[in-house]
Amino acid sequence: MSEVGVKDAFLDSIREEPTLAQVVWEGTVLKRPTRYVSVFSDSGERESESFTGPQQTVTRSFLVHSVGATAAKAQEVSALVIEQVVDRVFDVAGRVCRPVQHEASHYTRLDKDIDPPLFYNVDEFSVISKPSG
Amino acid sequence: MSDFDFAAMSTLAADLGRVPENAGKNVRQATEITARNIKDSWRDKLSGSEGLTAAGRSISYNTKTGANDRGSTISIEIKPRLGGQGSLVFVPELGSLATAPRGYGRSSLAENSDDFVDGLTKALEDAEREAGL
Repeated sequence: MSEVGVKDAFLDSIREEPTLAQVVWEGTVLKRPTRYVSVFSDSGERESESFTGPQQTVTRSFLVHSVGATAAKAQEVSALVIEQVVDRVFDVAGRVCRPVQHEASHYTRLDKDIDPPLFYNVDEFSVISKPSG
Repeated sequence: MSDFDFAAMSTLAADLGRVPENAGKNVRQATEITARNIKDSWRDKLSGSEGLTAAGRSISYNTKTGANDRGSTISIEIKPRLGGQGSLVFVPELGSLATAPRGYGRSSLAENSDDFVDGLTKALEDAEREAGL
């Protein structure tokens, strides 16, 4: 499996939480329930471990919106996401992954531009992986 | 021995270890040049944002110097000034529930990380030369 398997493993690990299993999506959600998780991922920054070596070490960044009808509920969802992924070591075919790092957390915000207005927490994570073998 | 660490996605950090006594001025100058470049890059990206044309002008930086148990410290925070469109910069940065994050600040930081290393390296070399080392 290619490095994109890291992204799939990240999404699957949140879905292992029973209360979130059916409400985790990648990207912007159009038909929003009042409690859900939206995951955005970049395609990873490639680095070489030596001057002339191939750029195979990849740092993939994730930004997660944890959404709820109240600030407390959004924070609950955020706490569940963090519990599911932080320090998790993904088992991805062809890759060796380092534990998931929690990079940043931001204030809970209210989005009034949608109907109904919903609260969301933003957390940022990263996973570094390199080819196995 | 200098140790540069870009593991954190939102922070440029460097532990310079033991450096010549006269290095402080050069290090501060090099760090401020990087901060200014990040600020300009972030402003440029925001200037193309539909509906947030004035937001770029809110990006600024604050320099703090101090000391900890390992020696002198300098930190520079680059962020929007709150008020007016500056209060809305989090939307393109972190996304809203209807729009995906664009991460202009974070990408500006990443774009300048190599220059940060180069600038600090040159600052230390100049300080060593001035100190006759």
